[in-house]
Amino acid sequence: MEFLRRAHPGRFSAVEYPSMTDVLMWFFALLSIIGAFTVVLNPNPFYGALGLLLNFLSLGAMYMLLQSPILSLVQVIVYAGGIIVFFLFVILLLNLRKPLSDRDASLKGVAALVLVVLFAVVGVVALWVYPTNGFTMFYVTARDLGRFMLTDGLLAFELSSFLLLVGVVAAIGIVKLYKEGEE
Amino acid sequence: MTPTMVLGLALVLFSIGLFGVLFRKNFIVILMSLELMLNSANLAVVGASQMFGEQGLQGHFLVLMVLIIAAVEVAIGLAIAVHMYRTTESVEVDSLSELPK
Repeated sequence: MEFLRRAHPGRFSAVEYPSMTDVLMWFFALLSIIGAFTVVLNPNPFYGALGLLLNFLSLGAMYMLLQSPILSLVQVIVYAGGIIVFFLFVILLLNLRKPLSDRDASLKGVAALVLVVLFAVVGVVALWVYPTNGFTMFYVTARDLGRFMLTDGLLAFELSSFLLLVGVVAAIGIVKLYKEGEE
Repeated sequence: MTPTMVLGLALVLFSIGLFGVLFRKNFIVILMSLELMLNSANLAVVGASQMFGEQGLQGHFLVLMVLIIAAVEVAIGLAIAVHMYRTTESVEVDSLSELPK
């Protein structure tokens, strides 16, 4: 391409090629939106969980493009590896692979759609009217994040471990609420 | 790649998740839409914190905290879904129309 530009100055100089980062960003943005629509519109929750997996993986790739490999890895391990498997286990346990009749095409659904589209349009217009500064990227390593976690963020870190404990106890308690043969 | 694009994408994903919460009746799908909304908020935080260089580290820490909260929320939500299926044999939220005796 470079020799063409030198041979015909003026003809090719106006063309701006998008960088590889931009191309990848648009690609993963498209994938994440497809995944999100699969979650919301597919009547079968099993395929919804797979769409959620697509969304999580593409967001993980986007974190990598945003110079944060540690968050990308955590996203793939915790979300795609943990939470999706959790959803799939529950869907298979409850045998929900047959779609329920829960597509509500009544006026309420249309109202919800209008509300959400309005919300998105107003937000996107507001984003374009008030431009932000450009990126000042900082390459976040596990070392930086770990040091922050054990100095400035120590209280939140310890409280989150307590929150996880409470969550486990609450989940077991809720599941044990049900007694066989009781109405 | 500009911050506007990242924030706009986060907004679109958030809107799709909000639509799922408002529109669907399957409790598990509602939980998945909630996850979509939390994830889009995470994307917005990462994109915004990369505008501030080294100071943006706090944003990345915030994303980790949101991730822990999302894990706890899914654990409790799916426990509620299992309990709901055992008592009403359905996971549609419309089936929860009775008060316990």
